[in-house]
Amino acid sequence: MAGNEAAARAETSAQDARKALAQGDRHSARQAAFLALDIDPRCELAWLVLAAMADPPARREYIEHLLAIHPQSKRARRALEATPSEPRMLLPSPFLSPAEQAPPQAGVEPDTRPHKAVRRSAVSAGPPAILPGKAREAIRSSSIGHAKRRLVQNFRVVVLACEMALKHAATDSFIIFAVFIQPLIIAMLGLYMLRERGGDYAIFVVVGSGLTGLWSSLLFVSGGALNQERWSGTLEGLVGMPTSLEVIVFGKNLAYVTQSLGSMVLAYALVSVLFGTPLRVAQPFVFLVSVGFTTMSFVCFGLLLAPMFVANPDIRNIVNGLEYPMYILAGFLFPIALLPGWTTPLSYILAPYWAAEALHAASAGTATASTLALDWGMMLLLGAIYILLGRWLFRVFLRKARQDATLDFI
Amino acid sequence: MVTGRSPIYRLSANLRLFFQGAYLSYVALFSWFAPWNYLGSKIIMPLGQILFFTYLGTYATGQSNADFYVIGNAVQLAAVSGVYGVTMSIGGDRWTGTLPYLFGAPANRLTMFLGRAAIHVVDGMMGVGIGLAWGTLLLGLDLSHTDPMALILTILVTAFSTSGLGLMLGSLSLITVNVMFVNNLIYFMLLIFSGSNLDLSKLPAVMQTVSQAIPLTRGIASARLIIAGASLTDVMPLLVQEIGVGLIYVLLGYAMFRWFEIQAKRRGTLEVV
Repeated sequence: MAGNEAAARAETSAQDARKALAQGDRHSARQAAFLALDIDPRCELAWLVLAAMADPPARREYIEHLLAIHPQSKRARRALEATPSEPRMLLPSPFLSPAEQAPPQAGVEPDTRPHKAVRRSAVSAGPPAILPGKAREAIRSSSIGHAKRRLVQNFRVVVLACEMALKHAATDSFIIFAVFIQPLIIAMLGLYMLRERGGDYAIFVVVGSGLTGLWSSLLFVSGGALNQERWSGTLEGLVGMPTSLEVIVFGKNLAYVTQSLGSMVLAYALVSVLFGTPLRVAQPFVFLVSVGFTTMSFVCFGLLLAPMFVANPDIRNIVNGLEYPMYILAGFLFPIALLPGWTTPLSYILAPYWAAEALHAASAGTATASTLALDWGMMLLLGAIYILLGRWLFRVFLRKARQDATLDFI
Repeated sequence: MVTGRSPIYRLSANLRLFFQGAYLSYVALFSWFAPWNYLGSKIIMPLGQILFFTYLGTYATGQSNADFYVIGNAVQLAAVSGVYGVTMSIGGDRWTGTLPYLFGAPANRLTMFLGRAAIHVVDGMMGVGIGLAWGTLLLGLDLSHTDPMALILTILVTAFSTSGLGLMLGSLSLITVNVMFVNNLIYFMLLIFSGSNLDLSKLPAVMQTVSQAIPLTRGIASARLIIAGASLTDVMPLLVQEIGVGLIYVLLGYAMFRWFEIQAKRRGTLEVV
């Protein structure tokens, strides 16, 4: 029953692909065909659409793969017979009617990239047995080219998402408060409260309050980035895009975290000007590098938060309660040695804790090679873990939303 | 305004209006169908605030001063209901599009206005109670010398005065675009100026003047004295002043509320300004 439903949905998507191809929208056609194959890898029409858009070597790959699945497919056999064995020119597809085909658009490359299922089957079956040498080389070179294109495309998306998020943040009073004003108030409180300790408390407060701004921004803005898209009615569009949702959220997080660094600068100015307290970062270069590591680790943390918040309303509803716990566990404004011992492991799995360690040490001049290696290494390691977990959560969220048709509700 | 009926009928109608408004505003605010909202804003956030500022304070001045920060922040939590709750109860009508109906109704404005704040006074008291409970359970706050009735009265008075500030901010929210910006700003400024985390005597004179003009300051001072063993008589002057400050804010808020209604009707800008 479930298999029939999947086949029906795949067929619908494949029909969409065929229509898109007929209208000349090769990009949408490819995406719809891939979607159909993700649902049902045996979908005949989806393979045919992909083959229709491919150049001859890749086309043969598609058709041969299709024949392996459906040996009796007449359309596949006709297509194979009509496909030249050597790449000469882009021919009209022999298995889709002329009305269903559109000439390649200007600037749009024919698809030289077989679907990943083909690549998987080729690898599992052993390349020499299935692929002729030229086809194998074509696939290898086209895969490298595709990886490069994808990297450039993702970079472009990150930059654009970052730019859009910055423009949005510049006019949102809630973000302005969370990123700039709240850290300043905390800085003022910290300065008045900690001045009795003496020493270099001012730079400690500046760094610590700046970190509170980073976290508040990440929690409220980055964490709610997807929810905001949902409330704006744009989440469906983002999910339907060929670009991975994680890439878009990465760009947004980068904007918000980078912007939040401004709170540290503002706190620095506040302390210097209003309080007349001299400030000095003892190890400026180390501090700057640590800021870089901090930014990346926070952005990665945001990739974990966004799918959690959008998929789980209960977490979203207690977001107000999650602000101070990080201030405490990460030791932004006081050492975690004050806390009960059982909380220490919790601090260790939080990248913001290692960020605070590195930044406080660099500003105080106590950073050494070994402490920096540990702090930076942990930020890298935890950042990587957050990315992996985030990718998994994104997949879970999107699968659940598609299966239940609840993208706009969950 | 209910007119043309007996005084008893008018009284009962206004009382019903008062309590109905109080109940509905509270239900709407915390959407009781999803108690996680309440958990985050009223249980976890207060705990986080108390822990953070108490650890920060004891890091600065020593463990012996922990009670100063626990009490200060626990009482300051009255502002969660007083500022956010009351403001959103009033301002919410604008965002949900019910303001024209509100101003079109013949209901008594003062009753309606005060009803929005009433339940938040009770909720604010509960919030302070939760904060003190966290302090007792987790941070060793000693309540053995406390006169409980005096403490409850202090909390009631503080919740009332803070709700007075909320009423004023709520009226302001009818003519401002970014109500949450104002709320957040006021809430965090209270952390500085109310003396919840700072010894006010060590602040600059200008800041001390501001402290005396806002709610909470005397309530927090009174709570600290009572928990240290003072009697109700000792803190009565502080409580009377706190009530006075609260009343001033209520009157200011009501005046703004009425002014906004009159101006909006006169200019046809009910949904615009």
